[in-house]
Order: sequence, then structure tokens, then C-alpha cells
Amino acid sequence: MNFERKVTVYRVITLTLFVLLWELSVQLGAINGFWISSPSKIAVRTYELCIDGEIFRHTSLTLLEAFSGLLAGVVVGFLLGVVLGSSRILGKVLEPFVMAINSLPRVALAPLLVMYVGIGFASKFLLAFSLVVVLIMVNTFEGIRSVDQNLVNAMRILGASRVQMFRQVLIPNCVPWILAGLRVSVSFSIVGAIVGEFISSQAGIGYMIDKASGAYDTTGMMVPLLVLMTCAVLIDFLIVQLSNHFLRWRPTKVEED
Amino acid sequence: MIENSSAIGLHQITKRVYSKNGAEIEILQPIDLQVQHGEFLALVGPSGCGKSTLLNICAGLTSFTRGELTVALNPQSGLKAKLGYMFQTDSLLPWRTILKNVQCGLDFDGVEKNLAESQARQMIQQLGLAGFENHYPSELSGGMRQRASLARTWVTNPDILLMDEPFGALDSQTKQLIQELFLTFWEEHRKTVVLVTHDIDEALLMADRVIVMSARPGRFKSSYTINFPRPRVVEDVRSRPEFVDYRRQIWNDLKQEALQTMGKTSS
Repeated sequence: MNFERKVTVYRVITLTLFVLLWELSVQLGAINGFWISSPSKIAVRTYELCIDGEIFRHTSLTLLEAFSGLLAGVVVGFLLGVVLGSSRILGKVLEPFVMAINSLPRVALAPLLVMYVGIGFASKFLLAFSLVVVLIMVNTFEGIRSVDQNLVNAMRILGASRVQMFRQVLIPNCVPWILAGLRVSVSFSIVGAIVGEFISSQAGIGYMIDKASGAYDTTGMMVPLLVLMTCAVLIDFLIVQLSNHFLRWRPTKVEED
Repeated sequence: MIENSSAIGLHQITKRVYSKNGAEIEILQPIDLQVQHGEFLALVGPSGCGKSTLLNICAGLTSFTRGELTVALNPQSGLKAKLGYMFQTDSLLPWRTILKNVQCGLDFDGVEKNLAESQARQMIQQLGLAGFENHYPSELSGGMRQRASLARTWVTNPDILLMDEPFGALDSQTKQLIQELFLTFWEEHRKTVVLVTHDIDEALLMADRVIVMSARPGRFKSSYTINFPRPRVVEDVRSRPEFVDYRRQIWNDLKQEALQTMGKTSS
């Protein structure tokens, strides 16, 4: 059995053991199921919610909020990062402000955003957007700034114009930074949407959790979490595949002499 | 005035920078230099003497404080002479294949795509990299990458080639092979070359003239005209008695300067 196979098998065993331990500790009364629900209850509830379609309605809404914010955040953040990175003086001037905004926990903006745009779709979208945009901007900016000066000089001597320099040197140099930022951004955007829903909403995963919490229904809180986690894992997997494609030029293993 | 006959002319070029605490540091003392068309000039000097700075000034990558720099026009086009620059690192774009890397200078010059590609392929073949066109730089050894870098520079047919310790990072066997390759190429095309190196042997093997620079602030300490016949064969040149003499003289010049540098940093 090769290494990869082994890893997969051990992963399955780990998951199975975890679920079994959880179920058994509740069944045998070691831990009160009121607090941690149980895999069987969660499975049954998930099935019910799938049958009546409720879970899909809520999940799709939350994902729509999150990913519209993600998409807008990535596009705007990238463009801002490029602008910031394209001028040395501008980058230097704005750097402390960008860092200040970046260090601000942006979920704290949520009440302000709700006040500005109300409790509808816009507040969730904006919250997800605000969480993503600064991260992508900073990563793009760093990607441009971290470029090997030798490469820039070499391309300049070879006669690259400013546009060619951007397209062929600076932007490709950002790609690993942006992809790394994208992975974090996915969960950030979901955080944005959920927090937005916690504050006020009529639907969505955050709404489901909030409602179940009011009824002391742990199973009702676990199901949407599980669904959300599954979605996030799938998306993360997609991004890793995307990274592998775009970063295929990177050395895959240590060079042997 | 600067003679028009030279490929690169430096007239009283100086360079000063300011350190973080505001102190003025003199990098280059007034330097006069004429590099003739088709001349192979080597600059050797202790580390930190400003030889790379001087090269970067010639390339227009670094500013200078005072003086005058002239770079000859290309006799055919009448435009500014085309420069080639080789760095110590290969400076290939890691996200482009070897073919695309070699081709990029031609693309920047506006050479038609198919022509650029066929020229790049030919150059890759000449430098013994056939079969690696679609590999990424990270998949090649250091010597191969430096050859690809050489191909990229050479395929644009530069009038003046500036080289900053281009073989310094290679192991000794690879280094010698690439030196021989480069020498053969150069002797065929006779472009103007300024080679910065700390390797005395390399300078003597390749150059028509070797200039030794002093420790910082950099100035020219001594100059040697190397008249070994061309084409040169590395092993033959090495076994010449004059080679050994030059080597000893240049080493003596350098040693004083290097010791001075070491004394400065350790005190």
C-alpha cells in the first residue's frame, strides 16, 4: 500500500471512529445528547430537511450572499492591489491605512452596514465583500511588491513595456498570493454572510442556526453547520485543483543533484 | 568630449548614496572608461567595490551622481544600441516555459510570433537544450537554466552585452563548460562585452582587457591588456606562462584591496 492510499484509509478510520465515539457516548449516556446531539439524530434531521427542501433554500441563499461578496471582493481587491502596487509613492502613502483597515476585525462593521443598507441581501453581501476585498488587495499588493527585482531588471533590459511588465512579470508573480488569499477568502465570505444573518434575517444558514439556538435545539444547529462545512470543503478542494493548475511551474519536490 | 568610436563611454562618473543614518557613502570615485566596439572587457575587484554598480550604470538600471555616460548608437538602425544583460541568477520567468522565456525578448521587440518562435527554438538547440522547450525553469539544473538565460539574451542579438558574474553560481565543471560555450559564441560574433567577475581566471580566459578595481570607493587600480590569440582554448590559455604571471599580478593587486575591505569590516 503506497503512502497516498494509507493516508486515505487512515482518514476514513479517523472519521468513522469519531462518529462512532460520538454516537456511543450519547447512546450509553456518557454525555447528555441535549448538548451535543448525535450523528443519528443529525442524519435523520438532515434527511427530513432535504425532503422538504428547506435546507436547500437556506443553503443556496447563504452561499449566494457569500459568493457574490467573494466574487466582487476578489475583483475589486485585485484591481485595488494592482493600482496600489503600480505606483511606488501611492503604495507607500496608503500602506499604513491599508494595514489599519486590515487589522480591524471587519465583522465589527456589521451593525454599521446594517444601519446603512438595511437587513436585506445587501448587508450580507457587503459584509462578505468587506472581509474579502482587503485581504485580496493586500495579497495582490504584496505579490507585486515581492517580485524579484532581477526579473524586473532583466525584462526591462529585454525591452518590456510597462503593460508587458505587468502582464508577464508582476501579475503572474501575484498568482500564488491571490490563490492563497482566495482559500482564506472562501471561509471569510461565509463568515460575513452568517454574521450578517445572525444580526437580522428571514432565511439562510445563519437564520437556521439562530432559530434553533432560540429553541435549544442542538440538532437543528448542527445540521446547517454540517451542510456549510461540506460546501466549504468542496469549494476548498476546487481551489486547490485550480492552484495546482495555475502553479504547475512551481518545483514539486526538492531537487536532487 | 567622449569619442564616438567607443561602444560605451564613461566620463568622470561618480556615485554617492546616503546610508540610513544620513551619512554620505562614496561608491564610485570619478571613473573614466572607454569600451571599444567588439571589445571584451573584464572588471575584477573585491566584493562591495562597486563593480556591479558600474555595470548597472552602463545598463541604465542605476543612476549616477555626476559625470557623463554615452552609449553608442546601433550603426544599422541609428537607434540606441541594444543591450543584453546577464545576471548572476538566471532571472528566467519561473511561470513560463524555456521556449517562452527565450522568446520573450523578441516578443518585446515586436518580432512576428512565428519567426520569434523559430529563432528561439534554433537558439535553444544551439545551446544544447533541445527537448527542454516545454519545461519550466524549475525542472532544469542550474547550468541549463543559465544556458537558457544565455539563449534569451543572445537571440535578441544585442550590440552590447553586460554580464554580472553570470557563471559565479555554477559548480566548477558546469562553469567551465559554459565559459567555453560562451567564448566560442563570442569569438564568432564579437559583440562588445563588459564582464564583471571576481574570478581572475575567468577574466583572463575571456577578456581582451582586465581592469582591477579598488576597494570602496571604487576606482580603477590597474589595467592589463591580454593578448592571448583567439580563438582561445581554455586549457591552452591556462598553461601559458603569461597566464600565470598575469594571474599573480592581478591577485597581488586584488589582495591588497581585499585585505583593506576585511580590515574595515572587522574593525
